[in-house]
Amino acid sequence: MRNEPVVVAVVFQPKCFRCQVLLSGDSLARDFLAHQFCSSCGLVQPLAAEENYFSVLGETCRFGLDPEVLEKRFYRASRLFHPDRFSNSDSAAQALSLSRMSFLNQAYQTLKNPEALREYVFKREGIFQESLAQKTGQIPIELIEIAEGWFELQDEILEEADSLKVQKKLREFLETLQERKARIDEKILSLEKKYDERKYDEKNDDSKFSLLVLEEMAREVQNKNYLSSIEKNRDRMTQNVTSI
Amino acid sequence: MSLQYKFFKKTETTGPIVGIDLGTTNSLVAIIEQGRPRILKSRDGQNLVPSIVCFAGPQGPCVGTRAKQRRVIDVQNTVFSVKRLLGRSFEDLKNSKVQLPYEVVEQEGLIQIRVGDQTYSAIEISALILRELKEMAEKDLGVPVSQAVITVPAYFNDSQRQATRTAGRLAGWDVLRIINEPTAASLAYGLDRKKEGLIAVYDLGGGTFDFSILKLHEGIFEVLATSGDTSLGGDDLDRVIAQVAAQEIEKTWGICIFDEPKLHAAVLDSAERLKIKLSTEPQALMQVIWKGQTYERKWTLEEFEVLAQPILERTEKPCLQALKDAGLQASDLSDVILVGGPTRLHGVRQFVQKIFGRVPNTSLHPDELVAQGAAIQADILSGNNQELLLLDVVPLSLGLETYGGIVSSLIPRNTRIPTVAREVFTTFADFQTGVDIHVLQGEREKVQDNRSLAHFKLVGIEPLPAGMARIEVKFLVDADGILQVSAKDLRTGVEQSIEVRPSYGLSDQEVQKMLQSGLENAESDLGFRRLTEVRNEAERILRVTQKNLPQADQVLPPAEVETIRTVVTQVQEEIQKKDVRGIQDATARLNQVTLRLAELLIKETISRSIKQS
Repeated sequence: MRNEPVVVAVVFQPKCFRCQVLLSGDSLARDFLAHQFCSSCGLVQPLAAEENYFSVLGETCRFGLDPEVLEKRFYRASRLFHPDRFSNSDSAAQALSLSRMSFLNQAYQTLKNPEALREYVFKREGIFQESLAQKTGQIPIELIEIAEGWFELQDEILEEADSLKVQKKLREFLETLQERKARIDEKILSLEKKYDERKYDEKNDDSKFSLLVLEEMAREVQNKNYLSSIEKNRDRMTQNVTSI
Repeated sequence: MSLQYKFFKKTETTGPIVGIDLGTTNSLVAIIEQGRPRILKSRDGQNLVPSIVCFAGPQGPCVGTRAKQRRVIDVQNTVFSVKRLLGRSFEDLKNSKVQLPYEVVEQEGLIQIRVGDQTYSAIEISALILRELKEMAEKDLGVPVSQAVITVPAYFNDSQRQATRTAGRLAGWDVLRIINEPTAASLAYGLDRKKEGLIAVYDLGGGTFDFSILKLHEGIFEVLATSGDTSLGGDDLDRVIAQVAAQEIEKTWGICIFDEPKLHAAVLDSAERLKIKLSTEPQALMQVIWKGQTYERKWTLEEFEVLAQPILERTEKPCLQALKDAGLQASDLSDVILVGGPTRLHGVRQFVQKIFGRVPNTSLHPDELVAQGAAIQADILSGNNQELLLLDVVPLSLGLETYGGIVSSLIPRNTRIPTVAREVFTTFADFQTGVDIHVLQGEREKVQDNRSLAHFKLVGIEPLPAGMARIEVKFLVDADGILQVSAKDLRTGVEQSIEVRPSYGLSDQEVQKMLQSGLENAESDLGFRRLTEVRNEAERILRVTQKNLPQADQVLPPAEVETIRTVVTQVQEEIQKKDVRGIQDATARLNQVTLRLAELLIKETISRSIKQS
């Protein structure tokens, strides 16, 4: 929120869809709910094209979101938009409540989940995993080596699961896997910070830079997914091997 | 801030709004008076109305206590536990072990109950109960009552919810909202206590089990996760007692009770009474009198609890699943609430204590909590109560059938409602004008393992080359947890609304299994999924290759064309063999040998389009 531009309301002054009261001219002015709800007649406003999962929860496009703040805003907005509040209203008002509440629910569900949030940002910024793979090549050699190591280890486990040597090797492998995952998580976190910090620096046009940051992040996410698939495979295997 | 804006009022609200707990064994109606829920009284001054209909009483059809009195003496004409049949197919019933003394027949795959020479659907029987509740409410309140909130088990699927709503309408109710029973119970719990924090609701009813986890915060009741079993309840406890009686009766009298509807009903009836006695006493006597003979048996609580154990154990898995879905540990909960008559049993309480490592809250009235909560929700909908708000979720994932019998998930379970999902469909063949859509509910990957909710067809699509049409289908789950589907042609903007008719089709024996088996069978499902994916890809490349083969003769040397033909045959053979590796390898070869063809064709197309422009 720090560097969020606050000029929007001056340029664009939306009026209530029905009663035509200026939406930004009331006590809710500057509140994230101001454009979403007419506090004069109580009508939930139709979703505008420029609205997104961030804006409906009073956020800008970023990663470092505070779950408690989000929850508070989600509850506040729910109190205003929920269909339960429009049980006695006409069908048009009910339909508006239904569509905005659905959107709000999806927005909250997405912003609360770090993985869903990253997917959403990638999609918004036009970053697609497939084209990324073409552009930057595949999974790094070292991760492929981890996978290969795992396949070899599997053979050994099948041959002599009880041998101390194999058990030790397995423990070491699991440690490496954890350690690699933690490193990737750390990397993703630092990229998220980087993205959040640079996004609204208006002095320099850094849209190209932030796109590069996102692309790097998407690659790390890809690597993380790759390791996760090994992990899933391991979970299945370790169920078969006793005393791990 | 007042949110009751006159501006948008539909009509002036007509009369009071009540909350109805339409239970498997008993039903209740409640209303808010001076901010407090009150249970309405039935004709005979009772709170509970037995959910029983008798079609041939001395003064015609009757519902409730009078019908219950006739359950044993007039078996053929008395229908009970009909909630277990609501929104289900005949196939479901055959697969469940429910044995009912009244006659159930099949009519076009649906369940019909035969009484005399008439047949009734479960919806109609439920409607009779709901109509009785309406008369009772009007008598108690002295004014016409037409608006209601009706509760359903949280784990009810779309068909069962729709069936409940339809029954309400048939009975003359304006059903303002369908809400989940455990959620309703939490409202009653949180109404005056102003409790905050994470709570769990363990709701073991007459025929269904629900478990929900909620977060209570400043009047918001947010459901974090829900799970359950739609065919598990107090009825099953009666049945284990009845089973013992059946064996002993057969041994001494030489009669199988299931061949004698009257005896069967009498045994079930005294089994239920025995169970209720055992919730307060350490031992009790079961007695069945039939044709001058008397069957008597003394039961101790311990004896009963041993038999009840396997049934109670079935509630553990849903509890753990919901905790996992909510990302919580049992120790995070600040309270566990018990709902439903069977939770009075000592064994149930002990079992709950074992699962959660804490003594459950027994200070509440387990029979009345749901109806009270429904009344509170009615009060919220009327606009009187602006403090509280329920935020609920879908209990089971919704998905679509995709190419190859696989379900692609559309709305995962525990998604907050209302919610919406959009999916763009296109055509597979040139000039195709219709697309079939199959909506499913459940957690499994293969179509046949999930509950089929509806089939429908998008028609009137503009005839275009394959893949050109763009039809956006919108799936909306409303605040009742009921699905609404609409479609729009993205090219023409023409909207098309579709009514989703419940298909009741597939076996519902699986509904209860779906969650757990969704996990247990994940592996074999994955194998199947992998095969389908690989095959789809192979078939796609085959189609493209075959389409372009005629042109290949003009641009490639004959030997190369021949190679392509050979590999095409190989791919087809591998698909037949259903071998994932084989298909993959053959497809890769096909990709390889058609590389030059593709390149040449693309070049040609580009040069043609350059010439044209």
